[in-house]
Amino acid sequence: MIPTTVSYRGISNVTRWSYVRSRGIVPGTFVLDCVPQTINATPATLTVTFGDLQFTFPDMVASEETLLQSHRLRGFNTKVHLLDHRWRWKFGAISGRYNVRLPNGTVDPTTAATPAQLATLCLQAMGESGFDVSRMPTGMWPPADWQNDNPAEALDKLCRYVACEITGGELAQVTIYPLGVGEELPEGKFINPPFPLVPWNRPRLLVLQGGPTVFQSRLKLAAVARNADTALPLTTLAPYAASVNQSPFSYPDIDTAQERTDAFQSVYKWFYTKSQADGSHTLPGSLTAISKGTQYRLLNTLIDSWPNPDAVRVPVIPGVVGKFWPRGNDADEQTDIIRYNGQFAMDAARNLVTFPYPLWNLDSEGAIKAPELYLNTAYHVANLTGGLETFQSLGFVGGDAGARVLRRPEIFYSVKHSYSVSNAIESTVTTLGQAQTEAQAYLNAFFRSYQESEQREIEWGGLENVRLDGRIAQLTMSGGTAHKTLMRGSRMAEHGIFGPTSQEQRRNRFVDAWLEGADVTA
Amino acid sequence: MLPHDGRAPFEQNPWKLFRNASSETIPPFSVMRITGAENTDQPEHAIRFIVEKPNDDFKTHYLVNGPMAVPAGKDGFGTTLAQADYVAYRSGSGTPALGDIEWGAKEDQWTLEKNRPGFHIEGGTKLTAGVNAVVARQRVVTDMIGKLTGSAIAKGSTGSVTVWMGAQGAEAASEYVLTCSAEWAAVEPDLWLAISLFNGVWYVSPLECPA
Repeated sequence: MIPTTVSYRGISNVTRWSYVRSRGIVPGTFVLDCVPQTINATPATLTVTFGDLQFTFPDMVASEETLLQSHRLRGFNTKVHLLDHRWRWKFGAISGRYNVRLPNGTVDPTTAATPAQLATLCLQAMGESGFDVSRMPTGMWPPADWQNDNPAEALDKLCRYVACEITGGELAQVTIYPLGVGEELPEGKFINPPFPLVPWNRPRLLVLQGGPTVFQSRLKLAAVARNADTALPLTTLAPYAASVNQSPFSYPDIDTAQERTDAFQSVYKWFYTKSQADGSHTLPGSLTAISKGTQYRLLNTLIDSWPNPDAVRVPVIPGVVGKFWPRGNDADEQTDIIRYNGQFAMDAARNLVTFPYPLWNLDSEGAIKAPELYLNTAYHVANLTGGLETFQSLGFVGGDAGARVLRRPEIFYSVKHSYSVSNAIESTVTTLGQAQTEAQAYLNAFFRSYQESEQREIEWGGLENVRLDGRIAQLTMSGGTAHKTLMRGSRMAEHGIFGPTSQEQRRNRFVDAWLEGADVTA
Repeated sequence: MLPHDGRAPFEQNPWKLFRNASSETIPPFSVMRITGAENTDQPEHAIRFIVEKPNDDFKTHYLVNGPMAVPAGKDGFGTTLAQADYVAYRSGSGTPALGDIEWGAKEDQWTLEKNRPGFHIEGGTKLTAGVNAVVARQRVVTDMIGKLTGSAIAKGSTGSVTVWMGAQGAEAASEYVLTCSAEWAAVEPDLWLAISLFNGVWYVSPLECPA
């Protein structure tokens, strides 16, 4: 029998020990049973020696659980709980905003950061060095908006988002693995043969559910008016038809105070997003059947962006163009489409564009006539039941369960139409390709985890030189003066019945974080 | 372009609401004879001038329509042209040019006529909405020339005086006849008279001595 020794500064007479090594950011607990003795509370290295094999766990510190357990055991024995190096990770803070999306769905290059770069920022904020993030996936741009966040929590969230696992924390040598990437469990001197299990409840499909598609086009505006006396408060200009082309200055034919107020408030000031510029609801690039103007869910920005004085790209505001009398000094009929440069407001809830003063056009003899107005803006498209047209990408897994949805709302694409002077669509630019590429990167990452979903557990007599990675999920080692030295490992699942108690996990992971004001519900 | 104060050019004039009491559509920039003013008494309580086409009733000043044609019986916005803006002129009477200071209203037309008092030309012309317009400013007319319409007026009496208008040396009797006071001197027929407005009264004074 190969002798096993466990040494930790100043602790003697260890009768039994166990240690569960798991991936992630929660510190593992090395439990030592020993006679009651004074424990030096400062961090120190713990060494497990098994024949030629030596496992070194630096920076371990006695947990507050130690005294609690000792009290429960009424003084005849002591269970010393030593937290591995990851105890340090509940401290610290990180701030920063990365991978901010431009209105067209692409990542603002001034904020772009790969998963590896984001992980590096977190690990540095955690005080780590010598880490390895080189295996992290590329081609995906996970959003990060950290405001004094706990860096380990941020890293954990990031890794879950990009299908990675944090390993090596207990060794102070962090290596981040993609889920499903790593070594196989060595058979070694197993005492229980591995019984593989391929879970039946794997999804049949992976569905990456992105954000709403953003369209930008020229919407035709139709003059509408308020009419409080009708069942349709927002109506056409019909109630005011006798006046609008003759005398919108005083509405001499309208007598009631309410109608006069409505007319002054709304006639030729309120316009409804009736249709596309050509009068139809045909929107190239959209998969939604559009039949009503309310299906255009107006945004208060354009897809286009421009740099501000600090070179940060910000969205361009919408604009109005059309044929309207520009309130100049002459009486020329406006026969060309010109840009409106005054103030206006967009009322997205009612699909209205409102102006502070009436806009009309003049005919060849100076008579007032309705203007021809268009709104250049970005918008989402809703179906008739209110569901927005969104970006979606599918991946076939081949399991027997349903579809697993990956919500990635930051991934969306845009379709931007530009117009000629004759109001026809002249060119179309879409970012669909970028969205598809990024979505595929996510699907590949999660698909790999299902490809490697075979779960397997093995128990060895003695210790094996095994590390946690993207496949090997948990390692348990135990022994003692009257106990065999055993090691148990599992692939793609945790066997961890000897893991930290829920109380301990909560204390280590959350309680202090609560005190620090972090969002622990994420 | 919007000026710095954010108002479009149209917004920068002190527009006055008017009602077209004529039977015609008033073209843009027309010269309009003010026949009255009223309060709309509608929720807005706005002053609304009543206007008609110029006739032989002489007015010291007129309202000028804005850029919109105004149908009969409907309302529009006009200005007194205290500041220069477009006003319609009859191209058949000439082409106004900067420095011309005598263009004015004429009976039965919406446009200015040359060699009449009331409007100073301050800029170029523009054909807009089928109307010949010129940039001009209006002054209140209180001094004119004329000749007696009928017999002599004794000193201290009143009588009718015909206003004469036209280019120098080609003056002719206009459609306007004013009742004037010969307060300071008797005036004789066929002699040139100065017509001036003081304290709301038109006075005449002889410009030449009897033969």
